[in-house]
Amino acid sequence: MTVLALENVSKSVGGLDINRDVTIEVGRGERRALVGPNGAGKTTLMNLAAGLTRPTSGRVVLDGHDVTRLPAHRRARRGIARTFQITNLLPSMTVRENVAVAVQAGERSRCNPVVPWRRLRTVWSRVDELVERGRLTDVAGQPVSTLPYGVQRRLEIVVACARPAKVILLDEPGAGLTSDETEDLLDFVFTLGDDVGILFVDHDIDLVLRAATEVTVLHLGAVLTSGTPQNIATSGILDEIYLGRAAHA
Amino acid sequence: MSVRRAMTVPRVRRVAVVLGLVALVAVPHVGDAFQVTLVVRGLVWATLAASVWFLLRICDLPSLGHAAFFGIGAYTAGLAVTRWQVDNVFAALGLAIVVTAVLSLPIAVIAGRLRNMQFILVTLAFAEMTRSLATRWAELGGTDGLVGVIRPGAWPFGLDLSDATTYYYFALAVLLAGVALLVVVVRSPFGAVLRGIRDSEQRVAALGYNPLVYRVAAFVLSAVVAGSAGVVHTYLNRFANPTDVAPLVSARALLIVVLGGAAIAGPVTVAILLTIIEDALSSHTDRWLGVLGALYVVVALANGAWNPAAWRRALVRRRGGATPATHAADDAPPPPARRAATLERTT
Repeated sequence: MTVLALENVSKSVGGLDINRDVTIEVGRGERRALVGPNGAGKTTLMNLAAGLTRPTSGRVVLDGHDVTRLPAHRRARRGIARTFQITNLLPSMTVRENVAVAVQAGERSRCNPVVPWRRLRTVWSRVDELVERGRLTDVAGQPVSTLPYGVQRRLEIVVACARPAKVILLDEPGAGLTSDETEDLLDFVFTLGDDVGILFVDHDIDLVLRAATEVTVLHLGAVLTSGTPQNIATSGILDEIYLGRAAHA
Repeated sequence: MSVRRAMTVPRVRRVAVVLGLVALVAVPHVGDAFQVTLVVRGLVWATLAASVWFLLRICDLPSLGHAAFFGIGAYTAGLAVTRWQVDNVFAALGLAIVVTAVLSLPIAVIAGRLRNMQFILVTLAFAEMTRSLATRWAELGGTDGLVGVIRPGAWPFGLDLSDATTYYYFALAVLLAGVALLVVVVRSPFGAVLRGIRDSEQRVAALGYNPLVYRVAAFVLSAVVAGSAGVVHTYLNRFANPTDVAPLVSARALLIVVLGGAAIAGPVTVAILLTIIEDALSSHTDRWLGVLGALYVVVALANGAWNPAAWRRALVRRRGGATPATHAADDAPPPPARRAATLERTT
């Protein structure tokens, strides 16, 4: 059952093709990894899926509805959650406040201009629950700008997963972290539920092959091949595009 | 030590605010009619500065066009009594608020899409368009402005606004209502989203909020507070004039906010003190503008160094626990400048 589909999506900027005719489907409960060297168009694809940019041609379909023309915030309301490759949090606010802004997005009181923010009981009890599950209780009251990088990455994940989502896009969730730390973050996401589709990017190929259920290999903006981690690992295709063996042969 | 620690920074702030309020309430009892009127002028600037503060500090939108909304409020108040036979100050205020909100909405929709320098220029452009409308529209009195404005009645309170002291308290009430409104909004869930958009628009949009809608609402709210300041201004002078819509009005309001720092008490204090200082300087020397300019430069340079909280901490460390309460007195009324680093705590 497909929850997110990019259908024949192309994106070019100033005559340069960043993505060419890419078709990717993410099913419920699937954990699809996007791999490929720098410049393969992974982040652009994430932005196309999230609605930060629009494709030059092709369609983005979420849960059977065409969302190609919808801006990021409308797609978020329909169930796309995401993390950013470069940490994107609210630096002057505390950890709890960051999570609260995320949780509140689904509440009717989200734009109430009169009630004190601190009084939204349903929001704050859910916030404390999430903060605890993300093991951020010790730093809950600290402004995000004062936190170590690794903790910020964890918060980035908690914030993205604060609302029930149909599909979660993780753009290098562990950028700048060790493999163990990244795996730790991914575990948090993977325990969210069986019907959530996950599309993620990471540079650590070993980790990707362990964590993903499906792998799509991108090269120069186009899909080279897709398959299970075993198939991809044994095909030797990763060596070709990363190390250029084919070119030498 | 623990007893002394109890005098925390928020409490110092609260004490400072209370002392400032007491001072404002006491003004008509210690000053003569001229001084009271002078402080009313300060209260008008404080109200306008509060509206600019909201946009700059909460939304990171530097408006150089608030004279437009100040002027719309001022002219509506004038027209209310000269043309529309409104004889109630609250009705006139309500009317000005509605007119300002309606006229600021299209400007908000356009300016709300812009940031930084573009936002500055577009708000300035709209203010200049409003000013040229004020000077050329015969109904508005052209360059002479609206004359023959009288202060309306204040039913149901039975106040006589032509009395300087009564008018002072009316102006103070408008200021406090405007500040209270802004503070309530900043502390609400809506205000939290605004601060979120200020920090990272992308992040907040990715959570499902439409940043434009929030920014437009914030802009209109700010415009309405500026319009209320215009109403008080018109009934104070008994006329409305195209100079009320001049770019200098917008610039001065923005300057006050920049000098005033992160907390809303900052611009309010600076606006009142600046009005008093300007008057004192101009009665002593013809070169008062030069002196004022030098003062601006000094304050701007000292702004980064002005951090009472850090001094207090340093002193406490050095003396092994000197009570911050003694320094609280130095800070009251609310410090005119506070570093942007304390932004997150002001809300």
